[in-house]
Amino acid sequence: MLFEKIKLEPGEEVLATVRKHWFVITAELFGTFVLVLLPFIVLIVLSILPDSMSIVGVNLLEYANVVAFFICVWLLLSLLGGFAIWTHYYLDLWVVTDRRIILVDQVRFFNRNVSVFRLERMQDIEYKVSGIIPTLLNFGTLKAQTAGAHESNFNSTGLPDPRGLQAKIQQAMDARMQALHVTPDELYQ
Amino acid sequence: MPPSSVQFTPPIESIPSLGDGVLFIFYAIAAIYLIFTAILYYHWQQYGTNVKVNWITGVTYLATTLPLMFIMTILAFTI
Repeated sequence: MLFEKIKLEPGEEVLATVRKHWFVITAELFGTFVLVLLPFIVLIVLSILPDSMSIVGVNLLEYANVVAFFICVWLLLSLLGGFAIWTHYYLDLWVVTDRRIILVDQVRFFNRNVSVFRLERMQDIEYKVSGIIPTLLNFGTLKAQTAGAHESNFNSTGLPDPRGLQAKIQQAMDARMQALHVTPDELYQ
Repeated sequence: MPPSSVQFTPPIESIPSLGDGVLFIFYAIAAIYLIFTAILYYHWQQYGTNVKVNWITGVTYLATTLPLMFIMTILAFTI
């Protein structure tokens, strides 16, 4: 399991694990759902318009087994696509601990980025909720900038309750600063 | 004109039948399915965070795809 592999530091506490909003996966799986329905829609249309196939001289009933076979192929490939989408959704993960943020980005199969950002190195955290659906369902983008020898940023889209997540990270950052007995100004000097 | 001994079209029995084509596609799809299943299993086994979700995903995957493979197998060998 993943948490055994992340190897939390001694005493490190997981504050939150976050995945993308349910609307993101629903929207992506809707495409798969349409693909699954497509051959049945085509069959219904053809049964409503029986003369359409006689124009090209093909009687579908003569090839019922072949048609059924190719529908099965279509359904199987659509389902595999759906499970790939689900896997990429579920294995994308944010882990916020009291010391760092771990971003796991499952881009594709065999393409996985794991980034670790230490809370004491974090600078600006901003969230953006843009659009009607994200506003109504409360999901959006969270951006953060870290300071250090190599300045880096992270940017995650489709996160649920970005304001709450920002507040949680900010609280964890403040607590971390207190634990280290440093102020942000001292840290970046 | 004398009849030509040159044959311009292949003999009819050398052209693959519909059944052969379907069988070829079936083998290709079966190979894709097996490879995909192995990849999916590996990713969930390695990177899954919740045993219950892993299990539900696995059962749903097999429950939706295995019947299709079963039907395809029967159809491929009967066409």
